[in-house]
Amino acid sequence: MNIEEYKRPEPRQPEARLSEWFSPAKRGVGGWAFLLHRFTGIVLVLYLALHFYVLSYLARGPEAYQAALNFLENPIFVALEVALIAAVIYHGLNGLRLILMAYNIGVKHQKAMFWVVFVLSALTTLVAAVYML
Amino acid sequence: MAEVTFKIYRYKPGAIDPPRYDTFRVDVEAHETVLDILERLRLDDPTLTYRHSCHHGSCGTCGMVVNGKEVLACVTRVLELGTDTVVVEPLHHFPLVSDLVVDMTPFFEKYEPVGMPYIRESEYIPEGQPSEEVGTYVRFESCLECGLCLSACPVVGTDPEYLGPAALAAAARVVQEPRGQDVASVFQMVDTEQGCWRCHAAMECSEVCPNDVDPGGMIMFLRRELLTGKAHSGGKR
Amino acid sequence: MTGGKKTWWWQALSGLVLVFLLGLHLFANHFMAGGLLTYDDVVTYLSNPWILTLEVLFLATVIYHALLGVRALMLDRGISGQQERKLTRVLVVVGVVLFLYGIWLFWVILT
Ligand code: HEM
Ligand code: HEM
Ligand code: SF4
Ligand code: SF4
Ligand code: FES
Repeated sequence: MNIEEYKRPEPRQPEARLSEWFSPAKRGVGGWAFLLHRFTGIVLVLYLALHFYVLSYLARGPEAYQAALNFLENPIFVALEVALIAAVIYHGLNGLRLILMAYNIGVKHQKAMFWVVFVLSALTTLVAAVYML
Repeated sequence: MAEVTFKIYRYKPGAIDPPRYDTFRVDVEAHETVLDILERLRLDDPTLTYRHSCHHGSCGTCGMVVNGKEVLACVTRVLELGTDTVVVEPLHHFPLVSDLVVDMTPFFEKYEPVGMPYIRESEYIPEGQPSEEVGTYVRFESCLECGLCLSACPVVGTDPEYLGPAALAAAARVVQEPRGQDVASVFQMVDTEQGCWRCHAAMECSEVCPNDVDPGGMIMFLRRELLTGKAHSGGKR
Repeated sequence: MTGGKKTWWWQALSGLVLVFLLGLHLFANHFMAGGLLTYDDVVTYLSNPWILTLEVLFLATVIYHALLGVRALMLDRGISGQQERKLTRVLVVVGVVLFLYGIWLFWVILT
């Protein structure tokens, strides 16, 4: 090839992959905290939408609402409800951790704070689950 | 000495496209680094490309992803990785020029406008009294401009507008030690949706930073300054 | 609006408030006197004006926080300033509609 004709090829641009938010590959403790916070946040938003839908049965009178509740009594939904409680508790406690960190409190101990959040969430969920089942 | 399998990411626009992994079996000595091995392999295959300069972890050009983690290849001993197979890939989130070579332009586009002076007062040797001509001891700023933090950050990966950990850490350094720079305008630059408020404290940046800049911690420092009103002179309310 | 601090701060504040209001909501629904298991339980629960006030406050806060969260997710995807303003407008409309729907539900239940 004639050197004058040579053109430097364009570099390949990076692609934005949303899966990266949730990829478990090689994460530090803070990375896991972020993954879980984001995941539970999205789950809660989806639940809120579903919740609003189920509550619409309230507007259709006691019988319709009771029928909807009976449908939700199935063990699968109860299990999902426990998972929901776990999501709420983790998201809430880690939210507090994130707020502390933004005030530059405990940033050096963010990993320890994550484990505190994690263990507290697990224990509270366990207590809630025992009550609910 | 041990035999190690190297799986190296290969890509050249128009030539090796789609990308592939080339596999090499290599005898590795205890002292040898990932960069040493790449240089040996290049003797047999001159088309293998990578960036490097200083060979001692101070120029920041040899950043790459080894076994999924961002490292400086020149100070990463192969046998200390402890795996029989070592996977070598280019940094994430940068335009890819060839094999392990990325285009650092997006890094400097965000980093340079902050205007951090490179020389800082040294906090070391507190007992040593510098002579009068010297005044104070100085040293270079810690950031090597290696881009490892940008490669590790999950937000940089999806939001090209985000200022990113290195630039924000540089901004925090200016706030801590202005050295004649305009702190107010730096606060204005980082107090934005795409500045220090885009971060979600995943701390992956601090996890990989080879020189303890702790960009994640620096971002939290900036937030505290902005939240507690210490940045009145510059930060927008 | 360049108020990155403002949106973060409101997200944090609404999160803090939610710790209490969502805590109350879950506590009431599951544990208080065995939980709200029937239509009548719900009516009785909401008949208390204090509870009703807190539940309306909860409704508003949770919608606000959730939509700010969705906005943060969208910004993390990387969008232009123009798209951002459009997104914010859409989310405001969604929020208002959801809030009115919630209020309407309370009203239907109580009358
Ligand atoms: C229980 C009390 C809660 C607290 C303390 C809390 C706290 C927080 C904080 C501090 C953030 C910002 C995180 C960041 O910038 O990285 C956040 C994000 C978020 N929250 Fe909450 N939150 C709570 C409840 C909820 C609820 C009930 C929902 C949904 C209905 C929700 C949905 C979200 C979403 C979608 C995000 C964005 C997620 C992300 O950016 O990764 N949160 N929350
Ligand atoms: C599994 C646990 C839950 C149960 C059993 C439950 C049950 C109920 C019931 C019976 C009501 C109607 C009466 C009232 O306003 O208190 C209600 C309303 C409401 N719930 Fe929940 N809830 C649960 C979890 C949640 C969560 C996690 C959220 C937030 C993400 C939430 C958000 C709301 C809101 C905003 C309303 C008010 C809706 C309206 O305007 O009527 N709930 N819930
Ligand atoms: S702490 Fe912030 S800048 Fe660092 S990796 Fe996490 S999101 Fe990115
Ligand atoms: S902050 Fe650390 S990881 Fe980021 S460019 Fe500077 S030295 Fe490299
Ligand atoms: S070659 Fe200079 S840091 Fe590795």
